[in-house]
Amino acid sequence: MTRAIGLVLLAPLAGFALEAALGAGEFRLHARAWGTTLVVAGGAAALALLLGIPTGLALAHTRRSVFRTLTILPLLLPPVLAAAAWLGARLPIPGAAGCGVLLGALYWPVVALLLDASLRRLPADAIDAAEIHLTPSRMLRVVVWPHVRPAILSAALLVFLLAASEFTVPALFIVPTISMTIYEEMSAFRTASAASAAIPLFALAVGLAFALRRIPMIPPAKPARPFLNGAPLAGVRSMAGVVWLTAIAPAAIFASRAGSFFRTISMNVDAILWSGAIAGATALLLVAWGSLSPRRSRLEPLWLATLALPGVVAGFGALQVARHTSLLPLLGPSGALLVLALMARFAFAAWLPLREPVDLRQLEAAELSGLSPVRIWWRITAPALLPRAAAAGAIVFVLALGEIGPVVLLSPPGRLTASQHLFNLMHYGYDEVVASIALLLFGATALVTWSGMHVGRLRTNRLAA
Amino acid sequence: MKAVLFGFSLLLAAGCGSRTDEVVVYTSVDDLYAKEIFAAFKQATGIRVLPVFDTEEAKTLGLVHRILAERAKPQCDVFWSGECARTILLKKQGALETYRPSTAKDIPARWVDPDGTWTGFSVRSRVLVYNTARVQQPPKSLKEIAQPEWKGRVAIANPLFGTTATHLIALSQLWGDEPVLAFLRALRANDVRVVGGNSHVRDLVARGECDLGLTDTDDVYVGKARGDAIAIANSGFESGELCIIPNTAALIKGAPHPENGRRFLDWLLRRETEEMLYQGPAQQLPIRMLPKDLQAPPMDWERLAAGEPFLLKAKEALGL
Repeated sequence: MTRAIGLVLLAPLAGFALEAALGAGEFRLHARAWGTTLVVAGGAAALALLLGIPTGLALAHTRRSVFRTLTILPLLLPPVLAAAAWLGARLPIPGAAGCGVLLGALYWPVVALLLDASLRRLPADAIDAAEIHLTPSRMLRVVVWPHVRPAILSAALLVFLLAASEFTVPALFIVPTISMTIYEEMSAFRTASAASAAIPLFALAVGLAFALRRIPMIPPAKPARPFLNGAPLAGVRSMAGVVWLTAIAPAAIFASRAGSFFRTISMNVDAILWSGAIAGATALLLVAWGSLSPRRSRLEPLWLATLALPGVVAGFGALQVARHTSLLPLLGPSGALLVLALMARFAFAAWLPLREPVDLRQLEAAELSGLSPVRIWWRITAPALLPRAAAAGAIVFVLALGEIGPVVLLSPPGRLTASQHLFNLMHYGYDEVVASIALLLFGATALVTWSGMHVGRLRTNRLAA
Repeated sequence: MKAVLFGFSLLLAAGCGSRTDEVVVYTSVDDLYAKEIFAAFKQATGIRVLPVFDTEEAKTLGLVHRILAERAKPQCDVFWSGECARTILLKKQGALETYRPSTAKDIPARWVDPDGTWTGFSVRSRVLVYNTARVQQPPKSLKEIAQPEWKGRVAIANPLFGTTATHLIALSQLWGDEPVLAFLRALRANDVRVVGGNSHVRDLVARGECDLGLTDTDDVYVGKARGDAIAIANSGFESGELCIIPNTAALIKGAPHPENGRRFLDWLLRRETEEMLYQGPAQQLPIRMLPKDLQAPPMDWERLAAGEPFLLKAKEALGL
């Protein structure tokens, strides 16, 4: 059943591919758009590495959760809100390089978090041995770098893909990236041409999925220990401090401009509640699905491809599949089709944290001890799974809350999401209403993520007790 | 697993059933303007409007694709667009029903589809907006903005979409394709700024990042209302380049609430509703108010619907 649902989640991608095969337009290279995309996404990846590596190093050397929360903050900000903050700060309209900077400033936590996770799995024994025989710089080169290299490269590729497929920021600042090309081609009903623009993104996503399979997700039996100290540690902490300060800049900009906050929120409560309901349903359903079969799947590359392609692809594909299967009248008006498209888009984001929460050897040992499958799940799997499920739920909730592509194509009549409303409001320039809604969305996503991290941990402790 | 299926079933159940006292309107008009109209319609008739809005940057893509995908069993009753190109595209695809609203009989024939599938109303014009603090003598014609004195000082919106696309096609009808492309190439050589939408053009001008921009009247009025130092430089009267873009409304073929759809169209196309739109922040001019000897050349609707190849050339001419 889990696999069947996993296949259903590929339906939007299949729908898009089918329309591409049947659709108009010719397969083209779109070299110019790819050139711009390389500047935007390459710039974003470079900046993410620049900001993310010192922050990841600093994170690995601290136990204080406030820094982890600060690291996650930029990821909570839908790009359209970042663009709102950019306009709100009265910064000049950016070109391709500026878009890269904006997106890099949003996605650096991907590098920091993956690097931190990788560093925490660094074998303590290897560090002990290296400290005796090697200089600190040589230890970094010989021991640390080979260990963290897959995580850093995967993170850079993930940032590249996220930035390349981001639509709202390039559309707002008219930087003709590949995601805008896909959108323009679809708008002109040249689906085959849109698909040809998407193929390199698809190939990169599949490659990334295979690279991510090499990164262990199981926590280490023996915790890692700090390996930086003295001036190098002070250096990375200073750099991380500056980066963390930038993380709260958007919230500060919104707060400074959000006039009549409560009045604005009360006037837009429908859109806010609807957004919460759609994002919540998507997160709950995906986490329930991912929690019940926490193993690797051959479908992972395709789920990642759906995430890596612009959101409009998932929305358009879902629309076409529903049309061909005559399910559109049933699924469309309820919002079920929108939830399905969002689930397809973010399946990988839910699946990855939930994959392999427990070492298989532990499960084997429990089975050999004669524990029943229910007891094994309750006593061993669930405690390991819960914090991850909470984190995965929070990630999906946040991503779904800020999504625009499928929402434009699949929102049921009479419904408008807060992000969609915000996008429309920006048509009128930056004003108090935009700032108020942006501030609320930012606060809500921060609260959900914080709750996801802490509630999951509390529940785990109770289960383990 | 049951939880996943149960959750999905709940969602399905929530959306089942269609009420008779509602009408579904897909609209590309900004939700701030449209919501007031919908509320007034409900108050007048008791019929609830269920709108589906687009976003500025989505350029009506979502709505048109939806209507076409739903053709076997439409979910939408009325399509209300802020311009005309997409409505004509839907007509060509056979997605629109013939309906001539009884309240629209006094709308001049040039703004109504000869086959009766759509009707134009409340109009916007394409205009040059300028920053009043930075520009003393604004240009008197459109072609002037490609002159070297305006180098790096002009902004326009993406030529592939919306009213900018309509404007370029109208100009190609007036000047011919090649002169328009030459004009765009001259703009490019003049370092024109191309941005995502007409409101962004206005914002660049209001903030002094550009001195001039090509945009719509509604964007200028919204900016002026919030205190931007901007003004309309030229609306084309002197050079015959006036481009007027009407809202268009149409009934969808096979609409689920056809009677309510007709009532909505009758209500929307009344003189009083046009007045409401005129009183709103966008100040869209009632089509009935336009002078009979209007200087704007009549729009060739067929050419507008088939304008995509020309727009691709326009995009190339601008170096996008």
